[in-house]
Amino acid sequence: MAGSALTPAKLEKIFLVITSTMLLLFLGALFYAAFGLGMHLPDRAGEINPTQVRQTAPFDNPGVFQTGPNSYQVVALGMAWAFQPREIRVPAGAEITFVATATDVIHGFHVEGTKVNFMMIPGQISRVNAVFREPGEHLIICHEYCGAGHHLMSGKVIVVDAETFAAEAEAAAAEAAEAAAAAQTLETDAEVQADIPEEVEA
Amino acid sequence: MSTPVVADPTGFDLPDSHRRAIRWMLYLGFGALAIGIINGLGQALNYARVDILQYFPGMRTYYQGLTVHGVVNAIVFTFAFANGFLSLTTSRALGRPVAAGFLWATFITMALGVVLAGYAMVTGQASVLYTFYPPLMAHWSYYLGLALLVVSTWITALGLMLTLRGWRKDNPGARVPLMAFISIATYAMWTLGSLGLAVGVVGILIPWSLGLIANSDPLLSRTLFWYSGHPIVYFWLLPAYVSWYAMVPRHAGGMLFSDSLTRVVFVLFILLSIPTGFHHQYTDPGITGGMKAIHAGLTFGIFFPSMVTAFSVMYALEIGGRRRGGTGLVSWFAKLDWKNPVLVAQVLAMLTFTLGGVTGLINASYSMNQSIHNTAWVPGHFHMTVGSAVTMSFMGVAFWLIPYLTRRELVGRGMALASQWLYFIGVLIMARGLISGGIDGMPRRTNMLEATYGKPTWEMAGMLTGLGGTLMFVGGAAFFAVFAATIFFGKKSDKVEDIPFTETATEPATRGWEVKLDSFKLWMFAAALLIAVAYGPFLFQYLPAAFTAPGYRFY
Repeated sequence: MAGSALTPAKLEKIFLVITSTMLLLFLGALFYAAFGLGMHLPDRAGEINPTQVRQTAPFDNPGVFQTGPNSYQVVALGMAWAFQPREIRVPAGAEITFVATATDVIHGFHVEGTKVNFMMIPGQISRVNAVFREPGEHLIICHEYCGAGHHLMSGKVIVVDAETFAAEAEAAAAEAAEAAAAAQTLETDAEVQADIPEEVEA
Repeated sequence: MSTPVVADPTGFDLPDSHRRAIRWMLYLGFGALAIGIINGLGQALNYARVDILQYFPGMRTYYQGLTVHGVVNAIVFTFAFANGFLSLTTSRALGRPVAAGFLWATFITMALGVVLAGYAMVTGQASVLYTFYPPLMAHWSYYLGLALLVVSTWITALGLMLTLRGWRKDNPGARVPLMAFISIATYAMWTLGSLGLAVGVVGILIPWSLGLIANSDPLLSRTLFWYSGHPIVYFWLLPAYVSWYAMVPRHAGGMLFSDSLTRVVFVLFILLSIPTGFHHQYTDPGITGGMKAIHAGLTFGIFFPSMVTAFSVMYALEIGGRRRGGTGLVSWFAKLDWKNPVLVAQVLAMLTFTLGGVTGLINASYSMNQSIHNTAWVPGHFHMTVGSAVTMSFMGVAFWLIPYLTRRELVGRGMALASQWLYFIGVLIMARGLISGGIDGMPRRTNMLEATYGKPTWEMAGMLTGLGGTLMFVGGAAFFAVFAATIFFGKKSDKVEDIPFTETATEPATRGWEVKLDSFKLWMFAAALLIAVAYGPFLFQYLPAAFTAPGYRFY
């Protein structure tokens, strides 16, 4: 019988060759995904004094900022027990870079349903790239224990389709311009009013 | 030719003073597990939106209970069991008891650690979880208590190493008996592995919590924690492996496959347990992707000895099953002695460990980690490793060890069997819940009952978690009923029984490369080199540390 030649030692050799090959294939696939397809883990992205976060650019102004024709930077802060901004609106298909840190203790930043998942560590800056292909809403969950209110800490990423986002941005810009103009008018009025007494005096 | 895994197979009887010391270590450990399991029920039901924590005496918050759950289960229970059990296996294998002074010093240090850490936890001054990452700050007594628990393992390590030295002096040139080798290898690995905790806790957190240092460096502390955080996983697991290699073949009626291969497995654990810590920090900033990739590769490397273990253990079980009349490719499995709770607990433990291993490999899978990092998936994974493979193995060992130490017979064999099946089915259901919830984004270590967010799809995951956790609790309660009944009401038995060590199919080589395997100095030195490769570049880039983060007590 052919089976009788399979001593335990031989069987083990076969078993170990198969399992090691499997492990090497898995590892190869992972490294290909990482270094061939660019699916990276967070890297070193700079340090920051955790007591000076709000005085240090870009964290003095958290929010979503356009940095190119189809790229945006999201500046985010984690603190006990909220994210800032609470709600992040980005266009579908755009290249998003999250730049984030924590102001007090360690927090987590997991955009549920996506691969955006990183730690916010006081003293360290996290930088993570992402593209949200489909419009929709995702919870942002703080997934690192950060004290008694940890379970209250969440936010939202709202992905809107590119056209809607552009229209919204335009509307927002127009509104801002209008507001600025209104402010200008008010200022002018104020100037005029302020001028009147002078004129009277003159 | 078969050889026993101990130096002298006949005529060993552990002195009563030693039995008493080891017994107290086990009482301390299993007492901790009892508290941990009660807290665990509260955690599991919280996922199912049932609040029983409010009725627990002294527990004010979910996170306080979770801190206790982690510390007593993952540190006190496992350390106490390892200290007691491996002191016994080493004493038996060398035919030379570890000096009783070491045993009692270990026990007293552990007890003191439990009192100090327990005081801080019970008074709500340490709700920082068992990972205690700064800048969350706990009372100094919490850190000091944990440090003493680590010191207790060093006292045991010293005891084992001195006993080995004495044995070697009396037996020049002899191979170290296998059961002693694998027991001491566990402590050789952990002695190196615990250094991160020692530096992080004694060097930084204790002075910081006393106000001697104003600030901490959170990333450095995390890195020191995880330097020890992966070897601690193997410090939990290896005492179970000692039982799987040196005793389970005997329980099953089989024998151990190979002496040399078993030693190679434990040497690989000494080498590879430590330089893998960054796979717990894949999503951390401040560590380069390249360093994380190196740790990923080494983590895949440490899968190899567990694969060898899978083969060796299956070999032993299959021989046992066939000797009992089993036939067929897999149906011999049904012929195992399913009436022996010692064996049943550990075979079921091996089954959950298979799933634990698969999920562990996914955790270790570099960028794939981002899909599940810090979600409920992770406790789903480790309740199939430490939370069942290790715990059930220790419970299985207790079914012969408590009778051995107390010289009483086991009470309630049927209940002992039922306890393991309940725990086994429970952990599978609970892990199914946690894992599916985790894939769906449900976070870990979060008070879901009071969370201000959620998804409807998490409800089923939470229900399964609660249901499985409840079954585990009932199984645990049945175990403790057997445990207590044996101690108090077990029939006194005067016949001296030895511990159930096995024989190997191939005896240890007396010449050639295999002899080198016994050199702990060599392997610890090689491990230190690997650690330098794995952590050196990071430290070179990162140091000097920035101690800039003030502490907070947000609990």
